[in-house]
Amino acid sequence: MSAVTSPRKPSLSRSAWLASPPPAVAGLAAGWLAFCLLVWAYGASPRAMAVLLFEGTWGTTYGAGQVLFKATPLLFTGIAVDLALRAGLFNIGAEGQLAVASLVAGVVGSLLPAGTPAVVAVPVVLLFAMAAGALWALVPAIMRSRFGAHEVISTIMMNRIADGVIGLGLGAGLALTGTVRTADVVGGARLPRLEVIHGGFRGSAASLALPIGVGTVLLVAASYRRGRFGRELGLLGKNARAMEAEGVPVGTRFTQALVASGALAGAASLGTVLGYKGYFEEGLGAGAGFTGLAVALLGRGSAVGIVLAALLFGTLQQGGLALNAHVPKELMDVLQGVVICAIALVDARLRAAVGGRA
Amino acid sequence: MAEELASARGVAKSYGDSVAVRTATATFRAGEIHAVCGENGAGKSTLLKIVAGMVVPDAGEVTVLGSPLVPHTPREAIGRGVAMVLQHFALVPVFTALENVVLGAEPTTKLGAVDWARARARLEKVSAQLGATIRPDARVSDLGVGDRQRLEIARALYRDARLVILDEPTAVLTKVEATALYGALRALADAGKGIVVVTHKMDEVRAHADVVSVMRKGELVFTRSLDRARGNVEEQVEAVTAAIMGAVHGDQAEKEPAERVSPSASGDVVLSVAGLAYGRALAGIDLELRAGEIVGVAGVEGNGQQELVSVLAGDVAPDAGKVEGSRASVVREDRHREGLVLDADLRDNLVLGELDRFAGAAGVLDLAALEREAALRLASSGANGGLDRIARGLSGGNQQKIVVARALARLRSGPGDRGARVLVASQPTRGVDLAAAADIHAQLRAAARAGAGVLVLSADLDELRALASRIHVIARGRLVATFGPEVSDEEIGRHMLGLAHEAADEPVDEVRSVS
Repeated sequence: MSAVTSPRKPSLSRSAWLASPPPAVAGLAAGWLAFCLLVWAYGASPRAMAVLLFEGTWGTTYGAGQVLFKATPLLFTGIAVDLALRAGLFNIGAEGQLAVASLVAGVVGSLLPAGTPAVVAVPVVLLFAMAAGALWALVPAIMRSRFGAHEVISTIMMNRIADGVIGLGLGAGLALTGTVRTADVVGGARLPRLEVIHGGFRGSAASLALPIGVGTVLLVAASYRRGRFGRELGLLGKNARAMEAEGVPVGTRFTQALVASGALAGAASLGTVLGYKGYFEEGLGAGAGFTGLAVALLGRGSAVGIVLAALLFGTLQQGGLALNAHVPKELMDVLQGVVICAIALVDARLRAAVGGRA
Repeated sequence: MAEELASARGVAKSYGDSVAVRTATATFRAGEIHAVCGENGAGKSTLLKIVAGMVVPDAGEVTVLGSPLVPHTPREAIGRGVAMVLQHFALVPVFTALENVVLGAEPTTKLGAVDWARARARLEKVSAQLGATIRPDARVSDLGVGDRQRLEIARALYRDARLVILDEPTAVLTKVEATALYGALRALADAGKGIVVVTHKMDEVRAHADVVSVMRKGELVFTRSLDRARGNVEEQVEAVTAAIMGAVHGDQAEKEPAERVSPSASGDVVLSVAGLAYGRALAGIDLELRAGEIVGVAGVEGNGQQELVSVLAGDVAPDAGKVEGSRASVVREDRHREGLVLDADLRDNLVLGELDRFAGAAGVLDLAALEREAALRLASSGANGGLDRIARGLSGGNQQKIVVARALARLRSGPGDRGARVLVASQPTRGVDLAAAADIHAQLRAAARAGAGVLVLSADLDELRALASRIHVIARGRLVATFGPEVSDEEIGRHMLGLAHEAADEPVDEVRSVS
């Protein structure tokens, strides 16, 4: 028996809003507070550092271009984590999925015949990379559906395994002799930098992967409403039992969600391997998977939110370099962690996703 | 007058724009069974949650044993002897009965370990007080609703509750179980506990309540004692009923009783079940359902009803036996857990599980078609509210109307339609107010008239008598008897109860759970 029978939605009073603010607001507020405290503890002025941070990023075309470059993989990993979170799954394995996908992208890209045209090379490499990411996510997905293992644990562990496997693979002949990098991918598999297309991006490492990333975010977010799969995931995340009772193959959907999430995370290699280095080396793209968590938590479920969150964390990463002379750039990693923790604190749905299942 | 255990003075609570409790003043005393009546959404649950510290009122004051309830938390309330058993239980399914009872109040040995022996002894004592057998080592997930409820009450008693508040405790029980429950509650009241019971059912008030309070539209409109010694309880209860129905259903009562769907021998068989067995729960069910008829299944909770629904719904394959005929459209027993996605809007809930129908190439949905279909179903449901309403915000009655509308929409509407021809409705009006229940009954009758075979499983004999042309009694996984609608409570109860006693010899946790 519910007492709430008014046809109008209950509006939150101001005090209620303060008691439980939207997660994004809490995250940003906590992030800003942490920034001020840490900078101040280092003996610098928060205001001056903030100004410096802004000037080093959005203040110049080069800085802005670098932000876009840093934000590119975050678009993919952010939407990847977000997709899984729709279904109530917490994919902490985006990091490992991306790493494995990047290795595969580097290897496949270098094995293609030299003259392969871009229209063939890029999709082929992307397909392999996404398949690798998907495969890496399939393991925890199966562990979950068959044995009930919680994906938070298994995806974290898969990250460690990814590190090891990549090291082994590179040592066992995938890398050029004496290095930890693969051979160069063929010319056709490289994504052109944006500076080639528009002079305004001169000097920036941002590539065509950026618009592809934005497009991917838009497409996936649109599917939450307009796509059968996407819409089902949202309902699944809210009450899987009811969906099951109505004949939806719930176990299969959970598996598909995690696998799709892994594939999207793998697609981030577009920004690192194909759009930037042109080969894979150990550690390339490291951190993008974890930052993707923060992006997804901050931008939850909305294309605009995810893009803005990716830009924010791109800004912080680039800004960290600009501040490095005054405060260590690792400070930005701390901020990122603080943001995630703050969101986790106020977000009930997140708690349900992580702890609400037997 | 008996000792005052708790009271609410002028309490009020709103959620946003909607008022749950406008103003209510009530006193709950030791040694009494105090019934709180009213329609769904009248504010009964909210009022009692306020008393139990679970909801903080916007205005007014709660006192427990003479002093204000500060801080206003459930912990404080329990500490002072006020405990509430919610309609939707709060037990940990994977824990045993004993573990659930002691959770948060574990007795410890000197070394700090949980003193299970002491806990066990105490639970035994509490069970005895309650007049119930609670098997301490049974897993809650294996227990039926009736047992879970006894466990919740035991939990309250374990914590030395002096005032036990129960929110619609009999909504999930058969008459026989309900009578047993009231017997236990009476014993507790005689032992000096205060009992508060939220209920819709006037016969319970008539038979068991000492004091009745009526809530209407968020206001506690009156409280009176029922004096059985003075006789003429009937008349006193009439006043209560009038107060509940009051302005809301003034005209409803005058309506003619709904026309029964007459059994037709000529309707073709839409569902034929023979020798159906599943685990230890179903032991050979034979059942035939014809187009155009409503058949009822009555029984004590946990005698195979849940499993029968699961098999008919196609959740699980039977171990033996045949199910032939149309596939079934199902109204599930637990609308919160299985029937609705509470945090989704009505649109999604009305077409839950049917997105395939609206998906074109590449899985892109035809949103306009989805909107049309959902709007159509909403209109036919009779529920209030727009498609954008979140299901959680609806009253129980409106929520159930949504579930029923969805199930009905899956029935065949005409020749050539490939929809289901069987409707299985499990506890279709449980915890729903009288007006909504009447609407849902009308919908079920209409479905039968339109050519569906309708199977209703219910703990409410009145409901079955009002709807069904035949009533089967299920006990120990078998249909043991069949009656016409004129059967008496006593007659049907004997069959349910007689065999229920035998069933009690068998450990429940050996029954295979399908959930």
